[in-house]
Formats: sequence, structure tokens, C-alpha cells
Amino acid sequence: MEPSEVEFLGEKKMVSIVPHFSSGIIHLISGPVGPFRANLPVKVPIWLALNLKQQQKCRILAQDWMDTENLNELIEKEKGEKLFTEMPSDHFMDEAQMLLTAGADDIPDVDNIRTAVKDIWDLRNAKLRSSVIAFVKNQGSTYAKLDHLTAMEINSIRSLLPETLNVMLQIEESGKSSTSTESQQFSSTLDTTHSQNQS
Amino acid sequence: MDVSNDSNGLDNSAFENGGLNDAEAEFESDEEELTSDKALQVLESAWLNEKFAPELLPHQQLLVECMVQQIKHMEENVQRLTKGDIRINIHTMEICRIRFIISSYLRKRLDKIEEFAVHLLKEDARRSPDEKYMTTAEAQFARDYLTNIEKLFETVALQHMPQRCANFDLDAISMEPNLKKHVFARANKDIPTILISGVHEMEVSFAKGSQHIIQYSAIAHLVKDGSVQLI
Amino acid sequence: MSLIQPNQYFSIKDILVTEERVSSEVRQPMPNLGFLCSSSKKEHLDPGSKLDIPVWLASSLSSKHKSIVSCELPRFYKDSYKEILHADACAVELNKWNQYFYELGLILPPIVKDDNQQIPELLLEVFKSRFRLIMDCEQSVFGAHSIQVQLTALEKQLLKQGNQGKMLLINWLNKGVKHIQTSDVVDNLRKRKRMEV
Repeated sequence: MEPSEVEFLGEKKMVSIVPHFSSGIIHLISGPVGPFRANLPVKVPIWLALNLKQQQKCRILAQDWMDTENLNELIEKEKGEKLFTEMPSDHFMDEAQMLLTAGADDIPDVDNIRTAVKDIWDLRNAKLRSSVIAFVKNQGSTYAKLDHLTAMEINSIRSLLPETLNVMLQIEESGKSSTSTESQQFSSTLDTTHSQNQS
Repeated sequence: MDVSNDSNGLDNSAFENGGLNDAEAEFESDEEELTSDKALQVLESAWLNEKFAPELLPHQQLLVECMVQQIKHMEENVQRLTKGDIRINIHTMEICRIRFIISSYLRKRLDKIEEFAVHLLKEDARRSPDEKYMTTAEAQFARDYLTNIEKLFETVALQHMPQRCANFDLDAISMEPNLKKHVFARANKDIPTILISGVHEMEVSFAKGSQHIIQYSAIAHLVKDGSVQLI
Repeated sequence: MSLIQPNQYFSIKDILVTEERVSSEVRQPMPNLGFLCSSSKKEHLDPGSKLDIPVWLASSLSSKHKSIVSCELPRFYKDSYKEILHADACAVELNKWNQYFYELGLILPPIVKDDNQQIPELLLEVFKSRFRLIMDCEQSVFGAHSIQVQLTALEKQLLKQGNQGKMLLINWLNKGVKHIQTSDVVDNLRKRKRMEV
């Protein structure tokens, strides 16, 4: 899947805007939005917020978590934990990318927020890379739990990890079908705890 | 401003629970009431499942028809809005988004149908009319595709071969999906036991909302019944 | 198409893999086929003659039920080479041993009778330890060339897929500065037209 498609899914998330216009409830196929009153905050899907912003019909408000203090706490937590910590949104990266770009002139402290987001992304990316390597190396099965990985992170390993596991499974199954006695060396790694490697 | 009194020419009744159109009414008969936003959610999840599942999933013809109908209604309504109405832009954009999902979904299915045509036709021949995975139109597409492939082989190569090598063997080119491919999945509900068979036979459990990478064959039935979403 | 799944009708790789030659010994007399063995001038192939045959031929001549020839394992799956791999699989220029080291290893066991029980285990071990190479290559856009040249076809394919995904992600992250590019399809079409001219 292309990153832009992950973003497309992320665009369904809600965000607060301050409209510069007034309108009644708008009945979208995906559900009603509004009513809109000039200068009164209202929640809308991100795609709609971006659209209105482009026409200069609204101001975008930052998500609750888009605050340097909060993000710096997240960085410390992410550094302290071996496993992945929970992100405030499962579309963390794409939401940030979209809102911080489109709402750059609306969101206070936008540069620091952007830096903090990038730091979190880099930290988690390094973690993801080393856990993928460890998972493949110590692999006892080709199953793993992926809790707290966000959509963009999952998509970033989609091009390599599943196919790698397919290859490993194929090799192993060929061994199984051509020999009846399983090798000692490999049965010893048949340990389900390895599957938790990535959680 | 009275929200229910939206008198700018947009007929809201069509988009509320009561005003479902024909395709949806049909859909409603065996399911509980389906609002347009719910239908869109189901379509989106069908799209993602189809995108990531190695095999062709059962078709969702009624759902697709229902959404196409919704789009049509919406387009008609947008036509009636006066120029400069802020809603024109908004509705048009939403329509584009839904169009994208529908066409991406249908295109992905056609890709798979081309790849597994022989296999799919064989499988569907065994299924009862209500349980076929391909729609009538898709099945026709599969048959046409094979006829064209055969014709291509015949024209390009087979007619120049010695008689005994000139047979076109459909079974030889038949490909089956590799159900052991690994996929990413999220559980829509608690699932206490999932059996992964094969070399590493093991049992795992999915907690609601948890995410996993797992071989598709272990969860194929759960994807089809909606307990698991491919991501 | 799956990377390693054998027996795909349209897979050119399948054909290339089975081109590899294995040494074999003739078990049953083969009348009038003496020409296959270039070193002998005889009319017939006698039992005991040695000849190198491609895997696709070997697989039909040495089925379980009747073995007309018996085949030997290519040297790079044998013990001495195994030891090199056990020592450090990442240091080996595996593509020089065989471009299709993994694929070939998967189809050989039923053809080669003896001493082949360990091949899948060997392949898995090698693949797992060399996976790091792929990740390293993917990580460093520059200077990875020296590693890249020693990857086998399968490893290269994986790397290619990984890189494609990574480029898409990088482009997305740098959005705004990227230019619209011609799609691969259009590009290929252009190349084809150029060739036709």
C-alpha cells in the first residue's frame, strides 16, 4: 500500500476547526457534520478540514496531543521502554504531517512540534528495524504481535517483512515434506516466546 | 439556525435512515438497518481486506451497488444547489473519495481474477448461486479472459508447434493463491483461539483491537466473517 | 507472484533455476544415447557412465519409482561448503556459488537420493543470518553496492521490494518538494518504442 493511501485512511480522523462561515448540518454520506458557526470550534474529518483550509474558510486547531511538553514526555517514555509505547493516534505520523503542513500558520509552536514528532518517528523506526532483525534471526515461528505500531509504521515494513516470512515458511515446509525426522537443531528453537519479540 | 430546516435545495431525506434507495432496501432485508455511513464503513473494510488477502474474497455486489446509488443521489442533489454554495465542494470531494475506494476495490478484484481465473471458475462452479465468490459479471470477465489468453497462445505460438505439443492445457497455467502468505491483521473482537497449522503448529489468541502478523490461512475464516480486519 | 513458490507456469525464474547442471551416474543402459557423453565414442550409454545433466532433465530421469540416473548434490551444498556457511554466511559471495542458491536447494532433495536431509535446514539458517545484509543494504542508500553484488537473486528481489517501499515512504515524508514522475508503465512503453524505431 502506498503511504498516500495510509494517509487517505488517516484523513478520516476528526480534528477541530474554527470555521469562518456559518452553515447548517451538512449531511455527508459518511455521516453529518456541523452545524458550522463562524468562530465556534467544530469537529470535522481531516480531509474536510484540509479542503476548507485550502479555500481559507477555516482555521485548523492542533490535536490535543500536539503539544511539545506532551510530545517530549512521549519521547522519554519511548526511550525508556524496550517495547513500543502507545501513540496518541494510530495515524500519528500522517496526521501530524497533514495538519502541521496545512495548519502551519494556525498552530502555535509548530516547528518544535514537528521536530518532536520527527524524533519520535526516528526513535520508533530504529526500534522497529532492530526488532524486525531480531524477529527474523531468532524466529521460532512466523507469527508476531504488533501492538502499538501505528498504521504508517506497519506499512513501512509491509514491503519486506511479510515476504521474508513467506520465504522462511516455504523453506521450512519443504524440509518438513521431504524428511520425516525433524532436525534437532531447529526444533529447539520452536519456542513460542519468540513470537512475542515484536510486541 | 434550525438545522432540520435546510431549505437550500438539498434533499436530506435521501441520506437519513428512513430514505434508503432500492439497492439498499434489498440489502436491508437480510441485514439490520444499514445507514449510509455504516455501509461506507463496511465497504472500506471490504476494500482493505480485498487489498491484502491473497485470495479473492466473496463479492459484495449489493454493497457496491448501494454505494454507487448513494453517489448518484448525492450528485443529483448537488446539481440542485445554487452556485457558490459551500456544500458543492464538500459533497463533491466526498464523492471522489468514495469513488476511489470503489474503483480500487473492483480493480484489485479484477487483478486477482486474472491471476487465478482457472482456479476461481472451478471453485465457483461448486458453490451454490448465493455463495459464489465472483459476481455474474466477474465470472463472465474470467471466462472472457481465459478465452482471450487461449486465442493469444494459439495465434502467437501454438499454431506453429508440432501437433502433439499444440494443446492448450488450462490446468497447466492454473495458479492457486498462496494462502500461507503473511498478512497484517487487527482483531475486531476477542478471539480466544486461533490455530496456526504447519511446521510451527501453535495456538494464539487475539484480544480486541490487537494487531498481528500471521499467515493468512490461520485467519481466513475470521476475515470472511468480519472478526478480523486486514490492515 | 510469490518469490520462491515453485512450479509457476509463467515463471521464467523457474526455468532458469532448473538449467543448473548436476553430475549424475547412469544406472540403466540407455541405447543410442552415447552422444550425450562427450568423452566416450560409444553408441550406447552404459551403466556407470558419468554425465552432467540439467536439473529439469534429472528430475524426470530420477523419480522415486525408477531411477535411470542417480544424481549428486552440487558441491556448494556439501559438508565442506556447509562449514563455510556455518562460520559466517554473511561473508560468503553466495551469488557466485549459485544465483539461485535457495530455489535450487528446494527442488533438489527429491532428485538427489542420499545425504540431502539437511538442505532445508541449511537454507533456512543461511537465509536468516543473511537477512541482516538485506536490512543493511536497505538502510544505507550509498556504499551498499559491495554488499549488494553478493546477494543471490532471491535476496536481491527482497531488497528491491524493500527499497521500493522505502522510496515511497521517503517521497511521502518529503512531500511538497517531489516532482510528478512518469509511471513505470509509460517509461517502459517509451523504451519499447525506442527499440522499435
